[in-house]
Amino acid sequence: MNAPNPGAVPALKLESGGQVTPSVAPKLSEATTFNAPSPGAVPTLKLDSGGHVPQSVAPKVERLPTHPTILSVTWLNGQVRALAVHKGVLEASWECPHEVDDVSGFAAVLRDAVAQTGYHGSTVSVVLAHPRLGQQLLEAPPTKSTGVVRFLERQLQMILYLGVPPDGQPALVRYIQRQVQNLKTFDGEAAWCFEHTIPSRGTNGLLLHLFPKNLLNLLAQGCAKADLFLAGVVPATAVLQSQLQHLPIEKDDIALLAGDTVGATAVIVGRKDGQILLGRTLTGSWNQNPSRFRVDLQRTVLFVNQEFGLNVNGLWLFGPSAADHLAELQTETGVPTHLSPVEYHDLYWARDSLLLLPETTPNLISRAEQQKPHQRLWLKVAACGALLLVLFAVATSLYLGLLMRRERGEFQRMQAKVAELQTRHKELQALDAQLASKQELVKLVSDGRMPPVPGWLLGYLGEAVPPELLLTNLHVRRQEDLWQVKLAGVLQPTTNAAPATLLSNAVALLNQRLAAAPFNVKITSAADLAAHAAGPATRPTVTDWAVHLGALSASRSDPATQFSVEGLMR
Amino acid sequence: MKPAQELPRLVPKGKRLNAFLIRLALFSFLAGSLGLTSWSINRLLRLQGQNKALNTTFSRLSIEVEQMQARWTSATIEQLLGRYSELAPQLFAGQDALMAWLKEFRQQLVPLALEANAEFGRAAVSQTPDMKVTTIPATVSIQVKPVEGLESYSSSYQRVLRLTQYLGASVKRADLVELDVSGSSNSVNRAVAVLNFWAGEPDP
Repeated sequence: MNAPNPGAVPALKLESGGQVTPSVAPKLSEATTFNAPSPGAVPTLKLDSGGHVPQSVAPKVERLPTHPTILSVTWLNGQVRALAVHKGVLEASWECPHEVDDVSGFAAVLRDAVAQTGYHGSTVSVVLAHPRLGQQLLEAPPTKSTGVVRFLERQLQMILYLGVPPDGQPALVRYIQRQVQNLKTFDGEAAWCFEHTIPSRGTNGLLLHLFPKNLLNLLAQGCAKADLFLAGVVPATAVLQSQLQHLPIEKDDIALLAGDTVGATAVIVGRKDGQILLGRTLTGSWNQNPSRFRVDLQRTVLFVNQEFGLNVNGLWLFGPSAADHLAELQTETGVPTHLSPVEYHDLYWARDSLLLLPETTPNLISRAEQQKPHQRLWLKVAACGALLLVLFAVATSLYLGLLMRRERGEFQRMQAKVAELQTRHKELQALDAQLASKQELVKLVSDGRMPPVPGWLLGYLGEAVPPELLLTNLHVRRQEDLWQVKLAGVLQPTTNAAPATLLSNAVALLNQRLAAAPFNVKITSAADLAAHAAGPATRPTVTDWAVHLGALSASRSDPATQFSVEGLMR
Repeated sequence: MKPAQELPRLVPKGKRLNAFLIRLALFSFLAGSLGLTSWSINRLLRLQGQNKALNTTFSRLSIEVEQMQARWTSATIEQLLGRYSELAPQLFAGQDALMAWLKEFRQQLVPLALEANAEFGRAAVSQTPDMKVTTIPATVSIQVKPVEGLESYSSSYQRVLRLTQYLGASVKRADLVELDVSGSSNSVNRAVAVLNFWAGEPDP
């Protein structure tokens, strides 16, 4: 297998890894590979077993789903073939040696397929060509609802379906379900899928694939019994439809493509762009019951002409021995008949069904059913996640509970300590208040006791007042934190010729003594009134002295000989 | 080829109910787990907050207790109580004590040949938890009488000075807060002293 280039499509590798049946083994022995083509090229299936399996023109490999691991089973009118694919690699194939007509035996066949191919995956898809699988054309109803209504319908559907992707049109689904009840040709409930057809005569058409629901359920149960999940049941016409784009026809040509599905024929009428007019299954083929096949083929051509007003431009045959019947069929139908350019090989249906895009392929298994494994996986993951979350939450809570227990123990110990401390605090507070009260009282009574400063000052003045001065008044008063001192007096009777100078000197001396220790009085006002009354100093004369002596007694009330001192001390 | 449209089929009621119940259960587990974790964390955080507050209280109380213990050492308390016990002698216990002081004061005036007249003012009360302390102001007017035969040192100034010394030396608290002395060439004539008497009874 060539490794895919970045951006290139992955290569398919078909190797003889598993056990294969004798019918297939010669064809797949040794290096059987799908070479990765260059983009746009058609991949080829190269088999080096002597060219028994010719090169085939396969659908573009880029349509292959990314690395699928799947058991692709074809059940074509009793013939069962299986192709095991592991991560995109075709590992082994197997063909059931006997016909399988009953669905109930399908589980055993699948087990054999798994055992023979060594498939170790869990998903299986089935390409089905079955007598009970039918197709019906249906006119699609005109769309009446507006975009808003469709949107609301989808939202409602999403809510009601609890998350099922609202990828459909509920009104169309309801319409089809009603039509299915009328169109089905069997009893019981019908499983169905549909695809759009080319609009004709102004109406949109649908091609319905109908299959009994009970058979489909049996098929799914058979897969389940084989420990496999049935992911898809695709009609053979859907696989054949993919060949349209490889036909060498013009854009608007109508081609009828007939593929041999072992005893029956899948027929597709469509254009090169892949759109179809109809699809149906004819009983018989060019190999089996060819006469009936030819008649059915002619009727189909006529039906296309009558129903759609279109002529079939070419008839293309696909299947074993088709080349042998080209001329015969062209003569019978009158339509140019060719061999399909897509080469046929036994594993065509199984392999090419894997190349179909799931989104564009009719599948009898509903998308909800297809998603079940994912949903189960999601459920398991979600359940595990929830369980882990719960375990985490419980573990966290337990751990936090442990921490809480420690915290609570610490809290209780601390509470006891705080209670003890509070008691001690209260005791100390009471003691503090009591002692503070006593201290305040002591401070008030004992420390606040004032020294007898006035008495001390009175005693000090006996020494401090100069003999020239006569102190007539002393006033000491406590003013807030300071002692306010006021002194007043007069000059002693003197014969001094300059009493004003004498007074000034004496007052200055008194001030000086008061300002000095121990009282340190801050003199705020000192006035000897003589300083203001006296003029310039003149030398006293005898006359002045006599006059002054005579006036000695009167000088006591003379403002010129009076003084006053004011000050503050602590 | 137009894409085939795979449409969802109607889901049976039972399945819908199952799906709803599963989602409800998952949501319940999720909500329950988150709730349990949140509740546990909140409980722990609340307790841690309480512990922190308790630690803060403990620290505050410890500091206050230490501060009070440091403030009131046994030596400090002993000293304070000693000083407190000395308060009683310093205060006038009542009117009788005041009268006794006045009586003694008057006795002191006799040898100093002074006359005094006391006039009491309005008392001021200082309330402390242990004691009610009353301050009683008194204005004492002193007249100096001329005395014959006294020694030379006993001038009126000296007599007044002695009296002020007596006032300052009193054990009882009688603060001399104001003194007004007037005189003339013949020394001091009169003096006015304002005294604050402190009265009160401390608790034992």
